Amino acid sequence: MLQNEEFIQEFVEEAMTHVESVEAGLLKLDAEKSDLNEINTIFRAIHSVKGTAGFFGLKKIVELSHSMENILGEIRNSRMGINREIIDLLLASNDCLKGMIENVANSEETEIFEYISKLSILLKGESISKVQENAAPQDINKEKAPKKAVEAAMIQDGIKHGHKLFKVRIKMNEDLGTKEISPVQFFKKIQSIGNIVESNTDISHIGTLDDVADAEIYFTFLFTTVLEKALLPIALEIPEDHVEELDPSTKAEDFLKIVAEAAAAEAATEKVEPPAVKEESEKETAQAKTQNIVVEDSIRVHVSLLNNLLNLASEMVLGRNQLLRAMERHRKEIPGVDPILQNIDRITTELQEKVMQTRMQPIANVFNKFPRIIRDLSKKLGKEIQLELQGTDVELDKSIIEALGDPLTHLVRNAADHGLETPEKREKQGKPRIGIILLKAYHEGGYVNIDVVDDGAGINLEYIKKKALEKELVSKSDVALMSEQEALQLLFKPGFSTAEKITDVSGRGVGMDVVRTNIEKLGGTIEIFTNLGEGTTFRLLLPLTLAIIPSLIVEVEKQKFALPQVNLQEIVRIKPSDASRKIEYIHNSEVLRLRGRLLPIVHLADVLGLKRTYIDPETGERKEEKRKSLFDQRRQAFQEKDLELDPLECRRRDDANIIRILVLKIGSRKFGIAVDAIHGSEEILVKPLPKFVKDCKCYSGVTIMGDGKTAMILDPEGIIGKANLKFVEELDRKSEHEISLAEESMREQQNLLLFKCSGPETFAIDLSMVSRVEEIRPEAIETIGDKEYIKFRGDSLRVIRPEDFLPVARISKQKEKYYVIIPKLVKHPIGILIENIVDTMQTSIKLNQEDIKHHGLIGSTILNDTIVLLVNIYEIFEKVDPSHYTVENIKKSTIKRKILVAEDTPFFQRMERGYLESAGYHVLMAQNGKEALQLLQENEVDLVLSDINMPIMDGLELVKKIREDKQLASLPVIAVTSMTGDLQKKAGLEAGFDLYEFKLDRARLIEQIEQMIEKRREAG
Amino acid sequence: MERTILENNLVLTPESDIVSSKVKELVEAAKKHMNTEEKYQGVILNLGKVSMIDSIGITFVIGLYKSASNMGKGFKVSGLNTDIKQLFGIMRLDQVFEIEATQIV
Repeated sequence: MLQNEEFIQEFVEEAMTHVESVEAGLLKLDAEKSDLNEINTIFRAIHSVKGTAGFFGLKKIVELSHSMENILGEIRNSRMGINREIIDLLLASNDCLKGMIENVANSEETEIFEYISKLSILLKGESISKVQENAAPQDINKEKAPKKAVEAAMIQDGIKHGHKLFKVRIKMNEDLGTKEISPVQFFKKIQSIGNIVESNTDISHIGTLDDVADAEIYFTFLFTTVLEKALLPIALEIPEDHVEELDPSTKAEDFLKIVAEAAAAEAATEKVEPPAVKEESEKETAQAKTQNIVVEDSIRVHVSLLNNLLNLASEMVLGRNQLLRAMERHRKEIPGVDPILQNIDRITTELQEKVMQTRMQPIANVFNKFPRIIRDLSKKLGKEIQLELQGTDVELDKSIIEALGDPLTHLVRNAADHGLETPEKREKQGKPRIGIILLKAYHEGGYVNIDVVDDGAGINLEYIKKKALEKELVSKSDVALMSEQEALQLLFKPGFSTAEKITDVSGRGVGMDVVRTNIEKLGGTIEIFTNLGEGTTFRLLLPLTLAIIPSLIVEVEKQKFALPQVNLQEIVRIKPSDASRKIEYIHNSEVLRLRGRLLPIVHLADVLGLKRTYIDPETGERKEEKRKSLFDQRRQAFQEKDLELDPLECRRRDDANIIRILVLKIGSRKFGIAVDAIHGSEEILVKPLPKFVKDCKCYSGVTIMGDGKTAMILDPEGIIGKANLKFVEELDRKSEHEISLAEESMREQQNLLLFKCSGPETFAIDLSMVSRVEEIRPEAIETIGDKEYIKFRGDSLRVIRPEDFLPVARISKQKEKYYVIIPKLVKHPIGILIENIVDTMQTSIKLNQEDIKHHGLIGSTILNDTIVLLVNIYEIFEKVDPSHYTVENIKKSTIKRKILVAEDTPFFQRMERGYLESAGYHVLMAQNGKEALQLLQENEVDLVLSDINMPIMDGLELVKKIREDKQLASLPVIAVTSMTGDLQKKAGLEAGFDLYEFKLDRARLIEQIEQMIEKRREAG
Repeated sequence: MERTILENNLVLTPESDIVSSKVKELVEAAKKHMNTEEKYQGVILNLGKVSMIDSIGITFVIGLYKSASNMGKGFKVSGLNTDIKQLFGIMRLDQVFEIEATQIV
């Protein structure tokens, strides 16, 4: 009977849902004993399995389900109580059933004797008296009436749940006599595929023994079954016209009439003998019938049909996109076409959504198998486990749901085995004996997240590292540098297992890597969060569906790519001429400082291996970009040229070189992808990657866009991998060694103004100290005595030439124009007269304070292969105008005050230190907040000056930590920063700074320091 | 077919399965035994030695019942195995004549 693959497949699918519902029902029964509804549900499910299996001649399945049905029948009729033993046996039998269904082709070979015999022992031992049909006849009579009622109820149930009602007429001799099958076998078969509700045997054709040879017996029965009308004749091997489908709402009291009439019609001549003992049972049947029949509001459709529909809908979306694109120009030309297009647009979207919905299934389909798993696990492991399910109604695409079972099972098993402690251990730790495993599904940012949470021991990172080392999965040096997340990722390495001993449950060393692979196959990702002693969360991030996704079409190097919008957070535009958006550098890689967070940036062209080009500002041609860090240098070179170009042309080229950064978020990781252009969003149909590019990690698929061209779909996860991106959160947790490396490279960037005076030397001054740069003509410089002045904002402003005060070349020549640097934040401004502005540059400098030393210079550094002298304008001013600029040595008290300066820029370190020391303070220097805190623990200081932007721990965090510390809370802390925004100032004061000072007004700073210290002394 | 008189009833005991090949023989034997001079009130068909029955076999049982009824005798089937008992139950034959599972010794 196993010939029809399609039917069999349908049976398997249907039967699987039944056995699953049986399992869920049994577990529920286990928890709350006698719930009649639940028993009925289980009974029906088993019965349905038996029915269809009978049709296919799957005898073993029929046999086992029949035995289970017997027990359930007894329970339903309250002739048998429910206990652990019964539930266990039923669960085990159900598993066996499940196994047979899954492997239906070999189900006949399955050994079921054990279950059958155990079930029959239970049935005998526990049932009241009469269970088996061959018991004493007097018992039959007693039991008849209630049994009838039960049957009637069963029929009602059956019909309510989609069973159909048939009238079947059999000519015993003609239909059965010629076959191998005996009447007994035939009726067993009938009963295995459904229920005989009523029957009538017409024996009127047999008058005496003499008629036996050639008389016919007509047997008519009413029959409920899940089978379709077309299948029934096949199943019973009878002619089709013997089967007639009846209206399922046919009243039970009419059943007898129907069969009798049928028989009469057949027999035509003789009267049917009225059955004698029927009336009582008939009444019962009628009573049970009073319930209304619920019409099923769902139908079963084959998945392949839905898949076809989905494909068609997807093609339709594609067609719509193309149509809209093609008709774009004619929308206005052809009257009336616009609303039609809009309509098609809208309907297509709706159609596609609806079709997608048909494939959506609640996650409960996966979650529901876990109560059983947990029940078994808690038994096996000797742990008390409570399972909580949340968000079971969250829906996911069928294909995802199906693929989710195994990875989730693995995670749950792991949580039970590795995560949760034994009850004794939990009690010792003051935790409740019962461990909790929570499965939670919820929507977040276009993804469905599934958390597997346990409140167990958490993951011991050191232990994992140790194990990984033992198994030689990583090297010692790797381990030393590992961040928490990286260490956790070790769990996913093939061959990694931390279980002390290999158990049934887990610890075979396979699994977690498979889990990750499976999840990634679904376009999802997996994250781990753990707190030692508190528990662990595994978070799966899954896309809702795999078929059609909204995406952003982006362009890089003239090629278009589709980027799934679920990952997209925002788009940042960086104009070459815009200095406010800064690209900075860590470890030679580019980062964008976005609202206080460092965002790693990759250029899409680099990741994909495309040659980067730019438009040459001189010729307007596209040229290959050879420099890696294009952002700054290109920008500067560009600006100078701008001056000589037509402004319109400038803008055009400026636009062409705008960098667009797409900020993407995957789970907790954020990064930026730089692209050349953005073309807007489109709903794209995801087609799988062709075989030959399958291994390209940067792509998740391919699609056809509205213009008919193909585009690769980018996979952000793959891009992270390919670009080998590190994330700031990870950097935070680096080991000591890594910190020092990071520190080196994460020094705050400085904005330098590079300029030249009359000689060949290049000088630099920090831009934060510059108020403005004025262009002046030589004739505007007036000489009074030996001093030079210019008119500035209606006042006379003294200007100096740095070369007069520094050990550099001085060449006297008349220039056409000069520039004057007006410094910021000084009480008695003096302009610095220079001849050429070379560049402005954002960079992190390595300050050399040894080789070139002079009063007025901070030191030297090398930028673009040129020695650059960093000017200390305060020292120069001191020389120029000692009366105003020499620092008063503050020696009001005999004790030297100690000031802690937290500053990461060498330039300012030196400036501040020199200035404070010359004012008579004892200065302690810290490179960052963390160091400062350490110094505060070891030294008693009177005041802290802190920069805001620092690596490792910034100023805001430092001041917060200080305020939190009881001993330090009252310490005056002044922010000294180049972040001059009002909001930033507000944030600073809120964080706990007493004062917020800008870099770098020396005189004011000293005043403030004195005032603060004074205040504090008064306060005691 | 074995024949005995037990408590005023004629007990007929087929020696083998009641299948089409045997039915003709059984019919003749039954007719012969029933037309005996001995007095009896009812006919008991003892199926104690029968493990299988086919459709013609069923016809035979019904024919036997009809013949007995026509003669004004009672009719009862006894000693059925479970399968056959269930079969008769489904066919509602248990409502036509009396069925007794117990074996007649």
